[in-house]
Amino acid sequence: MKKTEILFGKILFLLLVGICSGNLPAAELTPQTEWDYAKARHLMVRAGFGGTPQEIEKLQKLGLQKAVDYLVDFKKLPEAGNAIDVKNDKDRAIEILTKLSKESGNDSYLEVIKNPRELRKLGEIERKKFSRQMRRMDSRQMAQIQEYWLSRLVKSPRPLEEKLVLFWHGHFASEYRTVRSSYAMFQQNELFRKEAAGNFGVMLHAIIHDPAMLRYLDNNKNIKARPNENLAREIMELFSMGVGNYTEKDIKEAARALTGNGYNRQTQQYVFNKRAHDDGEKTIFGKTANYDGDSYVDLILEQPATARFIARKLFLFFAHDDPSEQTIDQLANVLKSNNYEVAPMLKVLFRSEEFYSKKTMGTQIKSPVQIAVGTFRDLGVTNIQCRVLSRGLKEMGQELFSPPNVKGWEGGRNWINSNRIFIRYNQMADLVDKIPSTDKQKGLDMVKVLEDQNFKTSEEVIDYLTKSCLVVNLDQEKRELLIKSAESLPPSSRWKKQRKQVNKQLRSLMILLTSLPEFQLT
Amino acid sequence: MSLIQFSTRRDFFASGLGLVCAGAGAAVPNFLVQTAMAGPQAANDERILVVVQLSGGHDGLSAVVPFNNDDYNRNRKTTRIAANNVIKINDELGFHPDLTSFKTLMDEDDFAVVQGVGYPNPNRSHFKSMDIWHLANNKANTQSSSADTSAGWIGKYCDSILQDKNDPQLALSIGTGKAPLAIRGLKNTGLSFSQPDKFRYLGSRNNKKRAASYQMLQKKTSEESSNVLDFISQTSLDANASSEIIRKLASKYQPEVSYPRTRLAASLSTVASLIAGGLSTRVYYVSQGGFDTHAGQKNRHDQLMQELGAAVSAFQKDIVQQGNGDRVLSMCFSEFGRRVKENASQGTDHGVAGPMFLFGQGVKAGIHGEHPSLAAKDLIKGDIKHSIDFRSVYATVLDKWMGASSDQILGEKFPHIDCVKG
Repeated sequence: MKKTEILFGKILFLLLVGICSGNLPAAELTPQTEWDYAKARHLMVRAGFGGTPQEIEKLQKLGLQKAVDYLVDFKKLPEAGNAIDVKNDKDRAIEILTKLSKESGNDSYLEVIKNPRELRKLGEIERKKFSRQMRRMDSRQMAQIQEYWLSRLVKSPRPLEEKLVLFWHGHFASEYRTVRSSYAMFQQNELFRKEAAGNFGVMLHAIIHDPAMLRYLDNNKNIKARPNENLAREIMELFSMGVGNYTEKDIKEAARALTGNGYNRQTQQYVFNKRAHDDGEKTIFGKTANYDGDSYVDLILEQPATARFIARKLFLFFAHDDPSEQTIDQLANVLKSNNYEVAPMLKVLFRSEEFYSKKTMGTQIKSPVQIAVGTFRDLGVTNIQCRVLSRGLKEMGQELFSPPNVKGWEGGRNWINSNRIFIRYNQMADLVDKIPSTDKQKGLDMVKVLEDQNFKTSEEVIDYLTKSCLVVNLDQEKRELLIKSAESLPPSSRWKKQRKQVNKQLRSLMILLTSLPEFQLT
Repeated sequence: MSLIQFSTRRDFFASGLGLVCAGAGAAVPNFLVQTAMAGPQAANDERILVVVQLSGGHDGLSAVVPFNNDDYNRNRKTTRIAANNVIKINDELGFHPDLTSFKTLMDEDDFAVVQGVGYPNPNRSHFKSMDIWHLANNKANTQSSSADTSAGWIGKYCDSILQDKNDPQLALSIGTGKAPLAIRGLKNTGLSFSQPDKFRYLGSRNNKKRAASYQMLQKKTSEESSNVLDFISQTSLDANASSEIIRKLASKYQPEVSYPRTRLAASLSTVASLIAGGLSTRVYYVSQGGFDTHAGQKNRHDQLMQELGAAVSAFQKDIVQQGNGDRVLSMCFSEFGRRVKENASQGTDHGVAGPMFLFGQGVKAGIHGEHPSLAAKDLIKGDIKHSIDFRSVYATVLDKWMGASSDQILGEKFPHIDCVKG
């Protein structure tokens, strides 16, 4: 009886949508109506990285509407507390030159501070020493920035903000290896954070003024006499429109529009080199004018392909990899009608039935960042040293600030192959067993994670952990195997007395959990 | 036990029996696995294909040099290889000076160059063009190819010979990062690893009980198993079933030739060890990176040629010494060639057509196809026009070397190039 009612309601609704869609702007995705723990957890994992059962329950109690607002309107929440002091190349040079001069008693180092041209007058040995120290100090600073971001990923009270920073980092991919300035990479990271759920148009404009990107895609070499197409091509192919929506001629002309967008190598600040800029007329997408970088970006934002491309990319990142064209059209409309503001589109997505459909829930292969950060978030572990995490991520194939190429991380099934499955299992086992905590302990303090729950049996422990970490129902046989492997676990009231031993057992259990194929999904 | 026949390790594990055995302790399952595997492992005389991917877009003009061509000399001011430096093949063409091994192999009847290889509507994006070569179709050219679930040409070949038997080792790639799309089939996921000694599960070191549980937990769940979970479980089962044998074969192998200390040489030497060990792999896949020479090409490219020439030389000698010379054929390709006219940074930009190299006793040695014209009127947007579709080369290798039906794998029939012996 009830089923037919629902079915009837659905048909009626579809009919209404069908009638209305003729004269109204394309309808939004069907809104989600049912709401439960599993959906709350799904939202928390996708629009963030995860959370403890207690955190999920809180989100569930808010109801769908408010839960989505809570996550998307993250600027209302406190910021992550950590800060970092990042030096630009000029300040670092001064520091090193002062130090070298002091160590060697050689004043000519100090001359270089006054006038960088003096560097040429230094002896070859001195020059090499200086540049070696510059490089070394820069990669040290890069490691600190990695650690800083990782710590935000693990701890920020605004998980969606950090998830979006990760999204934009993959979208506007730049590699430190090529950029070779940690300061520039940091500025780019801050840009992604500033506009995380902000405005895509603003971001696209900003990216052609971003020193890391200008360096990465050779726009510092893009001058009137010798146009370089690299940035012009990738902006359209990967950052905004996608292949098939522009011609090779558009690329050549756009490259001319971008001439002159450069940066200062010492301060890593944007500079417009008027002399290098091509002031002539350019024809892009069939329109002719004296375009510069910004008016070229404006042209891109007018193209219908752009909103669709960005909507699709966000959908793939947050939902699943096989959206219908209709879904993408609807999301693109929301994006476009909000003048490229990202937050309204995300809200529609996170409240849609499709986002909570079988096709979406539990079907995404965790990225390395997701698997590591998500595990800590699910367990509520915050006191870890993030430096070690960096190495693990590199091994698993997602070192921050080092995407494989300008296309970013491809994700999906590319995260898994026979090689990477072992690496994943091994790295996660290593993290569980060995990651140092801020209070100098080695390995996850699982007793601390679980002791408040008052477990009487190992069965309860397993069920709690699977509830915390798995989105897929574990099959009965595997569940029993895990319970059996934890059978010697005493009730949690006795854990304090045998803390070390119990921790070892719990970690062993956690390692088994992380090496489940099911654990790879979210 | 003896009543059940397992054709491969994968069947053995997938049956659940492998899991039960593995669960019993460390020594037992190996014995059982090896018994079950004895058949297919022992007699392996099947032909093998080794694919060498030159990633980044290889400047073919700097490898097979048209040294007497005025257009070449005019367009290449800094990247040119002078006539007196090339290793002459004939009056017009010569190999790069670091490719002496190619010439030696050609003189021994074991090396072929197929010229002007490309495809219609060329895509100058690394990613798209690479996908096109890997999937062997032009559909990858459109925007929304869901590359995530499409099969590569080698994967399709493996699927075609699998029928209902499974063999995780049929296609094997060596390298870090994501596995090449080419080896991914719909049934056969393809195996990949970077270093054989690290190709193993380490989460249960010194913990036998955990090792047993670990094996059990990899099992596929019958109920409610989604496609993607199935894919992960299968990948894990394949990896676990192959880990030990690959480590064993690679570590015990002692080649009689010495390989240079480069990444490509290391990959090829691992391939040689697995071929020597009789692994059931039909297609091996290795790569050499760094060919995207937009700036300062000359030095970089010289180094790449040096590495390629030396690695190929060592590998081919090794294969012949093993006695496998008549069953291993290798093929080098790149996603595109480079523009005829060099750019202002002493480099070359993304181009279109380029040469492919094939080597081994199965090739018809020599130069195949015409050298493409470099005259301005014959270029498309400054790029060499292709005269041979790469799928013709694939078809030739699939049909004549691997004994497959290329039209089924590639979706249409492509004319053969006479570069492989019948």
